[in-house]
Amino acid sequence: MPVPTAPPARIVIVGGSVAGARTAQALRSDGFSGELIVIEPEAGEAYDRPPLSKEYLTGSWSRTQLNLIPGGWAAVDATVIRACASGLDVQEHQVRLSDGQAIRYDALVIATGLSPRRLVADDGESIGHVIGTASDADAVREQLREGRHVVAVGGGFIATETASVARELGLTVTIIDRRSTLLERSLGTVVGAHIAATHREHGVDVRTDARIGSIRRDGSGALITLENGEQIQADVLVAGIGSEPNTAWLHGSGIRIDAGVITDARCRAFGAAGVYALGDVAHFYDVHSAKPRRVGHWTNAADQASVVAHNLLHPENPVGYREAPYFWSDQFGEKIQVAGHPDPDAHVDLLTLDGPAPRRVAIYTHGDDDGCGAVVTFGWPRGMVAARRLMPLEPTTAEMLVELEKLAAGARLASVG
Amino acid sequence: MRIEAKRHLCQSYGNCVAIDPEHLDLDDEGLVVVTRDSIGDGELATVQAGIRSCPVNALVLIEGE
Repeated sequence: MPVPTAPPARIVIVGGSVAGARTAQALRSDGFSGELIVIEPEAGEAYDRPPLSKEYLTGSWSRTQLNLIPGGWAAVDATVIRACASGLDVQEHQVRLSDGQAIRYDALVIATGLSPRRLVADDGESIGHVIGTASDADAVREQLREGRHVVAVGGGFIATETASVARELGLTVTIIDRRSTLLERSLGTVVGAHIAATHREHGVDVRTDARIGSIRRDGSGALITLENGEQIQADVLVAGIGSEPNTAWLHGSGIRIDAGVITDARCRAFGAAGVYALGDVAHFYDVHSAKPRRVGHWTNAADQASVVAHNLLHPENPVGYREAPYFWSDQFGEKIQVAGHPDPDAHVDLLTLDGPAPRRVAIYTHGDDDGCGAVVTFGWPRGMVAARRLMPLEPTTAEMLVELEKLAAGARLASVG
Repeated sequence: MRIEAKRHLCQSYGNCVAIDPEHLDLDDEGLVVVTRDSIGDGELATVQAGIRSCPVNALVLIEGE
């Protein structure tokens, strides 16, 4: 097959959340004038998901404030087909839809994201809420108005952010986490314990090392029995117990799947020409670690969108994706920001830096060469900007600390103007 | 062309500064500021990527000025 040199005439994007929306925008910004089709079952404009367990759940942000594309899909001249993709024929270059239609593509972008796992009650049916879509969040928000006791299951960001929102709304909250501390898998035990302490200070009943034995339906709520026999009644039950990549529609297509769609460093899927994958569903080749990595963070999806669009439109001059890992959370009015991939086994220094306003940071030292693997800031966005600027230079922990200490002491960021 | 920052929308995520430090920064309050508003030859793709990196669309490209 000859190396393609012209951009595709028709690009089909499956999935209309941040990865799909930002790819569509990047394609148009980069001059793509061909046909753009988006396959997305949810009605309405593309919306942003991180606020669903934060500002949107409290009610402080409206649905329109979540809109991802200024002017909506029309502004990027995209035709949105409201259907689920149910299959892919890479020989015929067609996406099959659940209603039987087939959509032909010249190039395909897989941006189908994740679906949250659900809790299962002792009757074998799923129980409780998840927060994956805006309608999921609407349902939780509705229940938070009436409920008294909110139980969040899981120790990750969905559970901790939901707990924070529920406390802000004045409700009683219990977190049931099977690990030894909150956010242990994402941030390790030192920072996890610090965040758990913040939750307890704000009145959250944090149960760690707590395993659920059974869940029984109890009116609109649930009665949870822990393995140690203890019972917890929930008016509102929210599960934040992880999620699965939406790849079922690709099974049997020849596209290589392993905990997501496997891609190379250029975000190209294996098993067919002209197929890309990005965002939460992509298990991409990470050039830092020389290993495949799947990242469920907003910034990863938006950054990969630029790479996918470029490679679709400039096949003669392709670029590789080099992740600059970053994510954030908002809990009890404080922005927690993370640069790098915190290794749960890293040595962690949790420090308060002196200055006009004392600054709390955590620095992760990975491996045995004193390399700074990750930085967490608490309510200090400028500190995070400084950390993100330094991270690509692969600083040691000492070098990172010097930079952050200077800034905390009152030094200005290096002028760029 | 120039970049306009709608500071009242800014949520201090800092993505834009990570992508386009030549034009953008966060101030002492953690809110976005445009440090240079002229867009040089070959900078447009980075400027647009910086704008897209904002989850709340606090940055806008103003054309024709």
